[in-house]
Amino acid sequence: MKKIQSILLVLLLGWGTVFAQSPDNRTTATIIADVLAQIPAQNSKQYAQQQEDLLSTGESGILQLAKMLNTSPENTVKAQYALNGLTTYTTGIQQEAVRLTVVNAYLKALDELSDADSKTFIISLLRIIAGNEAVSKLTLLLDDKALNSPAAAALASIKAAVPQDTPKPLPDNPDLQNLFSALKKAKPGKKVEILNKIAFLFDNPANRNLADASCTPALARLLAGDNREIKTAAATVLMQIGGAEAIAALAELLNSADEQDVRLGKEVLLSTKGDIASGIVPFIQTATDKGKIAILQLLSARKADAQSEAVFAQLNANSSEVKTAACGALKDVVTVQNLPDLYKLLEQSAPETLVPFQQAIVAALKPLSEEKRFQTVAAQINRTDKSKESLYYSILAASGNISALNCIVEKFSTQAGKDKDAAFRALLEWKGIESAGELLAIGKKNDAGYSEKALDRYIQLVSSPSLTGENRRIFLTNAMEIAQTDTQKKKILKQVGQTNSYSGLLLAGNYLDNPSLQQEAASAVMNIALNNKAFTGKNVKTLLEKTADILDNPDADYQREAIRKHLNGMPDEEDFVSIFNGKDLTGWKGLVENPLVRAKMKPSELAKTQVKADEQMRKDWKVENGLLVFDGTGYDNICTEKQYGDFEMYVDWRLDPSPEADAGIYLRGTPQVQIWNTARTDAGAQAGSGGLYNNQSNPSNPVMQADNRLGEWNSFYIQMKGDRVTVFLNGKLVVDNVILENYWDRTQPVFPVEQIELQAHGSKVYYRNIYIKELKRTLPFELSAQEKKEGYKILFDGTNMHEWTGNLVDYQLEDGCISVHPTSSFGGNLYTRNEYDNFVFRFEFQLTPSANNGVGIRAPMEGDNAYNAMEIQILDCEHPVYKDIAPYQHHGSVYGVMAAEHGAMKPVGEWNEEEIHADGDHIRVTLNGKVILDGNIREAAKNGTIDHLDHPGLLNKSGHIGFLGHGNELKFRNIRIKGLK
Amino acid sequence: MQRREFLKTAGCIAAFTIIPRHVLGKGFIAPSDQLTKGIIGTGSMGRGHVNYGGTRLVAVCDVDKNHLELGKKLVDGTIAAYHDFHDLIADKNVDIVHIATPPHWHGIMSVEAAKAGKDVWCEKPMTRTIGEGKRVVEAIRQYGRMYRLNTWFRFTDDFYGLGTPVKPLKKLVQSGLLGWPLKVTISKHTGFDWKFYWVGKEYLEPQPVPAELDYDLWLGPAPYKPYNAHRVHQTFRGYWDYDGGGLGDMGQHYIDPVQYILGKDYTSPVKVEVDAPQQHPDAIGVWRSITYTYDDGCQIILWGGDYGKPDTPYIAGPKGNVYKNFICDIPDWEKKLADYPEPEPQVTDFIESIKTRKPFALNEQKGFRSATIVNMGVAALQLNRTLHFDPVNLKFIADEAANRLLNQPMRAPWII
Repeated sequence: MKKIQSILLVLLLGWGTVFAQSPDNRTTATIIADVLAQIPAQNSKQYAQQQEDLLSTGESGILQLAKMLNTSPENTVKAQYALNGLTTYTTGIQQEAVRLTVVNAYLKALDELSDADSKTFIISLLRIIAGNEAVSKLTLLLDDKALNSPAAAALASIKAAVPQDTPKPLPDNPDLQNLFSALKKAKPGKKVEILNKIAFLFDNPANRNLADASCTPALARLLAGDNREIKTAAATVLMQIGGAEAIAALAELLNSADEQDVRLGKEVLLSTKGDIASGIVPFIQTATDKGKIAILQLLSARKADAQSEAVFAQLNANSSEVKTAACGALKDVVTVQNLPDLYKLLEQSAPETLVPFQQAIVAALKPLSEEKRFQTVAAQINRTDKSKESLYYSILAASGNISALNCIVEKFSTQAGKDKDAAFRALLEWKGIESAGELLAIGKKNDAGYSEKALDRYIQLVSSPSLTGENRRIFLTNAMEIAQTDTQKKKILKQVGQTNSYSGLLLAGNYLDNPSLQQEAASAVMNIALNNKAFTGKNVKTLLEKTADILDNPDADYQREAIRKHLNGMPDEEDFVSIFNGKDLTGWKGLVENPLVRAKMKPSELAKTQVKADEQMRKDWKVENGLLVFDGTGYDNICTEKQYGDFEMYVDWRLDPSPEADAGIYLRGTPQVQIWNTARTDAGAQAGSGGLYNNQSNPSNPVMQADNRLGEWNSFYIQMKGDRVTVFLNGKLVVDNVILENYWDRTQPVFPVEQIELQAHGSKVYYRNIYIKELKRTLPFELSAQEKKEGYKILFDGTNMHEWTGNLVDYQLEDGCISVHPTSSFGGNLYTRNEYDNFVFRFEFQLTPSANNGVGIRAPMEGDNAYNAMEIQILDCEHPVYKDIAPYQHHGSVYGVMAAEHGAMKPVGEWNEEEIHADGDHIRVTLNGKVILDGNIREAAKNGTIDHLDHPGLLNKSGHIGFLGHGNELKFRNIRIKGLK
Repeated sequence: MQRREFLKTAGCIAAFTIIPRHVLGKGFIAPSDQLTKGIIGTGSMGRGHVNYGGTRLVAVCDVDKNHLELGKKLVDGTIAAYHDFHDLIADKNVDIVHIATPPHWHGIMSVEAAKAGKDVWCEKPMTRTIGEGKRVVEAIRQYGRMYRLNTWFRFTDDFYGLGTPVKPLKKLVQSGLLGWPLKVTISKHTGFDWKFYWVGKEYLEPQPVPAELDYDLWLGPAPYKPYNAHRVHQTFRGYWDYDGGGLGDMGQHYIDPVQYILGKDYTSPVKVEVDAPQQHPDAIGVWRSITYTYDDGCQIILWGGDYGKPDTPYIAGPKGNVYKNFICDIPDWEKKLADYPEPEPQVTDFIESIKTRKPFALNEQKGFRSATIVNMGVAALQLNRTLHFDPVNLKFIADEAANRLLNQPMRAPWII
């Protein structure tokens, strides 16, 4: 609540300076023990708190700590952490009095400690923290042979600091003007040295503005000489200065008959700032062939499209080398205007220049949209002779337009011979993932000329890091199914190792026994397991142990060590188990009605109906090639024989392409995690698969569409805890901890335990890789016999939050509790769905240090319920930060109106039992069996409230019951209510 | 010809030219001569230095007899073998002193080698403190020596896990297309590994010093601590007295190219922030992140271990981002970039540098600045707080304790 917040602020502001207070009257020994139990601090907040706690023990506490050094290995390490932390922290807060306290404790420790190691350690701390006050003591220690060296070091550091020694900056740079005037007079050998000095000075770009207008002409003159070293050094400096004048001088080098000049000119001009293109083009006529080539390469490097004419002209040069250079430069200088010329060049080209001309056309098309590129090339294909058509396939591929891809695919299937090859090459050149389907299809055909290359390209495309790991795993699984050679299988396994996918780990695990693939498989298993600490359990353990045996490479010992470390840290728990064996329908049964109807059926009746349902299942559901397939027409789901409570699940699914394709996964007998053809926009399917389709008050759509192309495999990871469901589709989070509503009876929460079903929805669907890991389940809270008799009703039993509404994000269901994890500084409110007037409200709560919350009663679901209703305070009021709060702010108070009594709260971290008895104006609060508040609110507010504020909602007749968040973490459980007449 | 055979042959010829070279005087070397080197520290890292081509190994030095024996076997035939590095530095046959000892020795040895007129090829990190680094720069300048730090990513073709050479990154950054200031993020997701197995053990039982090791000389300027095998050889990087853990080992590899890319070779960040568990005073632990900020707002963010996000760009600017494998999100950036000059050529062959006396691409100045970033991080980790730094006067601002980490006073009789 806000009032407390302002008090808190005041307290916190003073906090840094009042460290000497010992928070809760713990003894020095207790404080030290508490800190040492937590050391080393894991974050800065904990670190500061620990040091403040230690500092609060004063000199004697610090001395006590120092005396722990060298008492046992464990104590020594802890004391070292603590004392070092104290030292570094104290030097950071810069409070002289505190620093002196610490130093004095250390100086005393030097007297009282007996062993040299401990003393040496203390001296090393003094080196950081001590000032003049330690000098005399340290000086004495210089005579102690064992301590002489550390003492000297500490003294050196202290003396360097007092008085503050101003370090010298690095030596200044020599004066540039002097260097240039020296350059003029210098002999040739000396000139090089001076130029190198200038170059070194100019290496720092900040110094280059020291160059004035006279520098460039002076350097240009040196270029014209014939001393190679001077030329090189001068050219470097001109490059550093840059600009039109320097470029003009350097360009002359390209016009030189001397090859070395040309080479130098090219090298420096590449790195010279400014428009080099117009500076060098004038020399293209007069330069030697080497010079011409250099100019062409420079034009190419700067993509000088304004100079394309000069490049085209050199296509007719006499020298074949110049021609080649011009061909190579074309792609960097052409524009759309050049297309007609380029088409002509391409169609008349010799075989060796085909590629550069194709590249040039691709470059000229680049500024156009993908569609326009395709249309332009398609138009040219129509215009030109059939025999020239295939020259354009690779240009089509580069367009990036999907129609172009379709065109290439069509050409590949309809053409023959060289034209077919050209179409295939173009298909391989296609950059995006869109070609993957066609490549896989070619890969499957077992056509020696194409299959292997197509699959290679497929593997390369689907390994792109832009795909989620889970999607890569799906596509790599496709590839593995058809891979013929070990080389390809190795490539696939290598990529599988990068997917971080649990199914990928199992996939790689299948190859550990294959002698020619086991090294790659082992690497993949190791990479995935070690990178994903969440993958725990028997499967992972077994595979890792096997992997450790198999690994054979120069780093294997190190890897084995890493695996051993990983296994040691892995909790011993159940893992995922496969619930589909790939051979038959063991473990599965047919669907009988729904869970509610089944519950009402007599066992004999159910058994009879089940037999029929199983018959129907065997008609509809088949196992084909290791896949579980629904090929029926009806709506008869296949169901697990086993029932599941909380679980995690992996399943791959694939819809047979049809417009109406539809399926889903029922969780605990309840529809459903949706699967459908996203093209069904009339049904809203563009939202994507994975959503909790039948939800009405909670989100039913996934947060994004993450489906793969219709007909491609997809993968779900589903987690169900309590009534909450999380779904990842193809590695993307699509449902984030959303409540699954009970479709069969919306007045009750989803069943705590039921079967899992794969939905049949009249269209063909495939499933594979179905793994389930059961999670430890919370047993639902049950009313005592007494409460049952009295007519209590459960509002929260630890398995679902069906009775609650409001902020269901910050208030999470966790380990059978409602756990508050505020995402904003004031964590929002959680309310009962229903309204209550007079009642007995019982619940348990567990605080974290200084936690603040409250129970709003007879409250509207908006506004500040402390005023527009009433708030029964929840507060860790024993915490020192609250030592100055008003009595009406204490735990259990009707906030601002009636003060509660102290002393019934259990220590932080333990569970408290509370009862709020609200009968008309009479409010009674009982905490852990003790009545801490009992009174009449109307009476209490008669002459104005204690806090002198308006409480217009104090006398509300009825409303919701709410937990009123205050930005702190705490937990609630076992919540029940009884109405009063 | 096999390299080994080539070395053998070259060795025979060069043997006759040793004397004339020194007659010609310091700093002048006839271009036809093959240069010679001596390696200080012939553990596994140091023995690797025999493979850096263009020179002939004539001397080795180590304080561990076993390492020295291995060093002597690096070439066929007899070479000088020393226990005390002063002797190797004083050896007239040695042109280049290779320093492959733990970092707490780098400063002293570099300065001593410079004083003796030797050129220096030193392992990373350049020095263990900022103060020692500054001293090396001064000595190299004062004695006119050439210096090369042994990391190479600012000028070689591929840059550790990033899947791209540094040169095009430098070109893109200096073009300004990404805007300014830039934020450079380095983590396992950009393909870098901080090698956090270089952590120390907080408690080390004193052990007898093995006969082959001169432990006192191994420690040298470092504070005396009782011997334990974990302090030395393969595991010394886990202790603040000698190095900076994974940051010390890998920091300069990753950060030096960033200094180059950002054009920060003549300055340093003005602020360093750390997010880490409290560190032990002797044994180095792990950290979550270290963030450096330059005065113009550019930042380098190092994520340790598994921290950082996979989809973070390596370089992020107000106008565009670059991701691992040089994926840039500026439309048509290749074309736009062509208007800008290539990064300037660098001297990337140390032998050329020695012969022409043109400073090496990663010389003492640039190495010092990138090592300073490592050492700023080390200081901030040790003190567990944000530090502000003055890149001109090379000291921390308003933080006396941090400034006491600029120089680690040396154990007598060592001075730098």
